[in-house]
Amino acid sequence: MSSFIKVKDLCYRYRQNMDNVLEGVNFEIERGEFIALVGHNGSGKTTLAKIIVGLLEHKEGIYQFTSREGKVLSRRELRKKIGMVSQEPNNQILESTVFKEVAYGLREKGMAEPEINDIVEDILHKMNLYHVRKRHPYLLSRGQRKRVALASIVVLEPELIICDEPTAALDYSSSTTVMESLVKPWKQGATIIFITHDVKIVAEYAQRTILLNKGQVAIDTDVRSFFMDHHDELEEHNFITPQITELANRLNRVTGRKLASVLRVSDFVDQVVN
Amino acid sequence: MSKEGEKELLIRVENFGFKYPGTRDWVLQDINLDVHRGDFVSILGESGCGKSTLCRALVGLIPHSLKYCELKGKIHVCDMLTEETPITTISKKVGMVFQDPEAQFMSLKVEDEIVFGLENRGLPEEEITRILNEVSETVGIGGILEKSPFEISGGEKQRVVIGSVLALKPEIIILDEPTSELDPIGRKEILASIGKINQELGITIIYVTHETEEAAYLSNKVALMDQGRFIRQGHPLEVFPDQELFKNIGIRLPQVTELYLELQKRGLQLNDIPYLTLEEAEEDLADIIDSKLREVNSNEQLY
Repeated sequence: MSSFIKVKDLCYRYRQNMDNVLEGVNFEIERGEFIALVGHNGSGKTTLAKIIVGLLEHKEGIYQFTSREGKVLSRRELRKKIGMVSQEPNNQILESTVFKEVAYGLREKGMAEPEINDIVEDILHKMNLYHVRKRHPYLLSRGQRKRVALASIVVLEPELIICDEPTAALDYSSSTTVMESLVKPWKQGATIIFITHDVKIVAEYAQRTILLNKGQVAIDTDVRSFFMDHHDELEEHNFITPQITELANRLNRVTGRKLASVLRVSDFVDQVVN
Repeated sequence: MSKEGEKELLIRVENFGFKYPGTRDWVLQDINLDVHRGDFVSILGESGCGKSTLCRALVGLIPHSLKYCELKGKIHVCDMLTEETPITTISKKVGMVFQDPEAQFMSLKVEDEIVFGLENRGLPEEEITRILNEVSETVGIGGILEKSPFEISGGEKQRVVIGSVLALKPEIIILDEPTSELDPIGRKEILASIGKINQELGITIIYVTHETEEAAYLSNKVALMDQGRFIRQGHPLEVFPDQELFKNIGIRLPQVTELYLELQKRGLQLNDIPYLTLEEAEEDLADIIDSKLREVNSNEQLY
């Protein structure tokens, strides 16, 4: 059976006479992966995400989304299987209270009210939003709004969730809450792709990292290898590693020893103190 | 204003408090802060803790651009009492850079953005050119002067804003989370520019952020804010080792500082001075790692 998502030689440009934003992108994704899509502004991350979601239609190359039943879905069909949380949460807020906002998609689907009530209350509790359920989403903090946008996607149980910059402009504790809200649907089988600049979040949450550069995949590997083995390439792409990983890499170079996988402070401590 | 040692006191905030009328909670309360000439002060705290409000008070936007508000205490900036001095006078001494650079643009060319304030002040042409060259050198925008401020990268945009503030030769520059919307390179560029402005030009910097790793490199003083109050102030070396304090307000320490505290807890003999930067950690740990891992490796060979 073919991969869940297959992208082959994918190119895209916004207008006929403009340069390609994507210039031959290749990768495959299996169900249940937790992937960070990284790269500088303008590297094509958001364009790629929009093609995967079905918001943009590519003309060159292959993009296939295969359903659980093994059927390759059309752009219209796959729209229902994928949820996207855009960079600016305000763009996707339609309703006047948090509760209604999260219930919106379920009502559109024609689900019965009592059932909607149970599902929405449950997710609001899980995402630490229950206490603000009666408020207007615009009156919430940015982190809360991001969680509202995410909750209204998660209740629809999409097979794939794409989150554009889930933690941008959020402080550490709000970032953690938002990321934990992605971990929950992932544990229940959803595939997650998140776009980010936050290398610490990548190190702590992603399993696999895809680095885009100038519309092409520059590095695609598991997160440990991404930060520990591709040091020179990352430097070439001006990509900054988490401080603790950078320290381990530098010490390995100086001492000729081998600190293995250091993605968190605790990884470092555990290897030095036995 | 009074002098402490060699350094002149530029800002003194005394028991300052602020709230909107008709509301119960003070947005800022019991704020005390001294800033001396040449200081690099980082104000650290979670979103919504009052950091930005304090910045607005320091440049006089509070109270002058608000119709109604309740104030307590006093703020002196460069020998001026903010509530009695018009913003236009304060702004000659204090420049401000906000989170979103585009909100501060008003021209269609980067160069115009830099000279705008200078032309407004009626400076002679040669003087304007001299300042333009100086400033573009400092913030590294010489190559983009002809471009539109809307077609350059986020890091460049923010450097243009910093340049336009710098051109007016302020004594103090206040930056309110200038890097929060930027990618890692953009952040690095901004930090390099601000460091240069502080260390080479001696301009006093107040830097609002929640990134302690950024604050650790440049600050000689950090002030931790929580729910409208300062809960701790001091040199990063005095403040950062208090891990609990940071945990309580949801701010992350630099990873190297966290590492230092953790290794120390586990009984490792380390330098007496906690690490604030990558370089400090590297220097102290090289030998330790070498011998530790040698032990580990030889133990492995025994089995």
